[in-house]
Amino acid sequence: MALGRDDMDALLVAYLDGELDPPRRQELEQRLRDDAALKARLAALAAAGRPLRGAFDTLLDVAPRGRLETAFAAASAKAQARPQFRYRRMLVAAAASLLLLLCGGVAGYLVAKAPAELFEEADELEEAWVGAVAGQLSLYNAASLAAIEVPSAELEAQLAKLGERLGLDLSVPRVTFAGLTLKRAELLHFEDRAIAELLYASEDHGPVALCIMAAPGGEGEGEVESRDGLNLMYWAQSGRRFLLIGDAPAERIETLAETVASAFETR
Amino acid sequence: MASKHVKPPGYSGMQAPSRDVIVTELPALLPRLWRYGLILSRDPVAAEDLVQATALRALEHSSQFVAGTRLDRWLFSILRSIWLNQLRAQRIRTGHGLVDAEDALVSDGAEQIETNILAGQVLRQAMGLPEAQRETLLLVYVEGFTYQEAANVLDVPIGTVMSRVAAVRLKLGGLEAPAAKNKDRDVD
Repeated sequence: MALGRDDMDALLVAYLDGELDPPRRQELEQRLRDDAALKARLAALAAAGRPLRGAFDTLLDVAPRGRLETAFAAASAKAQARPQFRYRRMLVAAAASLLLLLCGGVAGYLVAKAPAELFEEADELEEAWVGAVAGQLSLYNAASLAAIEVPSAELEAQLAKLGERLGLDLSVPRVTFAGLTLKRAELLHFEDRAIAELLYASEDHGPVALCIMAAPGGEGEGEVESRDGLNLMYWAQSGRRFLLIGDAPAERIETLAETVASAFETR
Repeated sequence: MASKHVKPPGYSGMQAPSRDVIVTELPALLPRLWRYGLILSRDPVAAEDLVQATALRALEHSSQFVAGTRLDRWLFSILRSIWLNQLRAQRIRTGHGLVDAEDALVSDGAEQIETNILAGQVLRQAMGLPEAQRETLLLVYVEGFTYQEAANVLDVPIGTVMSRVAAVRLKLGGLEAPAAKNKDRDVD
């Protein structure tokens, strides 16, 4: 069966790049001997090569090395200062598995696999959505928040809609916290799960977001973590996942998280 | 697929922290990471942010790095996943305001690259390619990844890498219109 032009081009380029395995290479070389048009196409593709590496290496020269190195040194000092929560959690999970294994022999082994796998799965969702929110929030600063002007009537309507979607009371009083001004409330999605994101400007620090995901499960560390230069806490409550994240000191995030959690305790 | 959690081969979750390796070896890789960030975002400032976020993530998850494997591959995967997660988060926004601001940010960056930083025609041409082709080009032709290694980082089948690489060569070589020397010359 003849290959389409695109596939044929891809094959010829792979040949030029030295990416064909010996049988495919020999087969192509045989065809090239018999097919003048194909040979011409190969020559054209070879001529189409560009000095890419040299051009792109000029980018290395303009990279802001100094700033990158300084930032890395700072990040490295910061990461050193806090324990590796996730690593610790893995040890806990592994210890639980091991205990089951010791207690139950083969049966224990079969049972032991489950919690570890469940743990991995939960951890990945947590990891992924927390990462996505952190990445997004890290694009905001106080100035970008100041530029957001949503009329309060619109905010209220949006909150009501979000509340309905999540099956939660998200009335204005409930989502109003001291020192924070609600700037925007919107519906996001992560892997088909609805997320209400409430974005706040804070009096003393940078942007803060409260995210509530309509998905049960998940567990918090009970401690503040940092990600993308932001501090965050996440926890599960009333069958939903909560994430409080912001450009604010760990203590502030922790107290705020407690306030939020107690605001959502009733009902 | 886009948000796939980064897990290097051989990852067991029980490795001793490899932070020392990262702290020692990452600084030398910073310019290459920045370049990858720039190719993805076409924005020098965003590239810097991406590198910073990648370094932080790598340090926070240093226990997932398997000593003895390629640190650059691992870091490229992390950088890419941060970029995709940010993009995804922006794209799914139902609100208004930010999207425009982001577009502006990206085009400002592109302009800056064109007028100040990169004069080279090749580079400008390459920067005009779609994102998927840009990064494939970088990995294969600049970073020297094999097709298979690029497919792993990009999380696509190797055949996809093959066709992207061919498309890059056709476009940069001005061969894009089919029928350079052959029969069918009706399609653009």
